[in-house]
Amino acid sequence: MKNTYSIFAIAVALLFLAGCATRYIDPRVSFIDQNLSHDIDVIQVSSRVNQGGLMEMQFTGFNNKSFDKNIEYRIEWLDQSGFAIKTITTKWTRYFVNKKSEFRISQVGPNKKASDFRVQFRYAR
Amino acid sequence: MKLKVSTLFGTLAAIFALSGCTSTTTNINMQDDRGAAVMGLDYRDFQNAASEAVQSMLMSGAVSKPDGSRYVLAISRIINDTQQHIDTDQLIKKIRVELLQSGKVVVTTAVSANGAEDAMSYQARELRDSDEFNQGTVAKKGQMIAPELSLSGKIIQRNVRVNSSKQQVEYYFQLTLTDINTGLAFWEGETVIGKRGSNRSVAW
Repeated sequence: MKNTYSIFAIAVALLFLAGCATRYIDPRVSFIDQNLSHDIDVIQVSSRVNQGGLMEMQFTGFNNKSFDKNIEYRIEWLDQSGFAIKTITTKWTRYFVNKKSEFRISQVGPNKKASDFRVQFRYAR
Repeated sequence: MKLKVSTLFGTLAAIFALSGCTSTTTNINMQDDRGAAVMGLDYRDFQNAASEAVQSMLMSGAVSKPDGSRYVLAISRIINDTQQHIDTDQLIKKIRVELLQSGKVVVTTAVSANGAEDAMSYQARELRDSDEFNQGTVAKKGQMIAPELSLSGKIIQRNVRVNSSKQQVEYYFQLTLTDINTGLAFWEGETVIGKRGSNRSVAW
């Protein structure tokens, strides 16, 4: 009987810990619609400089909901001083994500001055 | 008195009716336009097509010169094969501006498929031998830079009937970047924009 209690207590503790598992947060990623931040898990945000000297970024996310979702994203490129670089690619872009699926969004910086970026998400309007 | 009251009432009714018909003009928020899509091509479609083309060009490395300098690009023919009256510069200008700002490409306005875009490069050379101009300030011979790359393309429209009340219009933005020296296409891209709407909407 004591064993049963112990197993039950461990199971409860595990469930509790799983619920409290910290989600990966990247300061370069923000969600305009707060509810969307619960639906999309940030898996990884990576960047590299390509052969042409331009910075490339890739966002990997996961739609943890059981239904497909239309979202919009916007990537803003910043120079070394943190100033935004004006480019036609900084615009709200519609994107379809499948339920319970991983997805990737990638973009290349507009010029060699681009050394950082910010990604914003919101529900599709 | 009866006539006056009825005339006044009639005039007021007419004013109200007319004021109800006037629609207010609003400015479009170009950064975040939430207006409904149209069956024809609007600025958002050109922006999307240009943005996708530039991203693809920059990612492919086709415009990255091995020695780090800039390619000289000439604009060739962009064919409008749609039912709409389109100034193809609506697309090409956006691409040019973005490529110029990338630091990878510089566009020549002295050579294009339709002749020089800016005739001044040639007209200014006619000042040679003119006593009125300081010849030291006149453009010298052999100073113009010949293009290395050429950008050509086509915009195609295809109408598909979905059912008796709906139609689908597909727009294809096809672009090719050719190495003038070898005649080989360094980069090619296509952006498809599809719209589905009422048969009564006109796409031209």
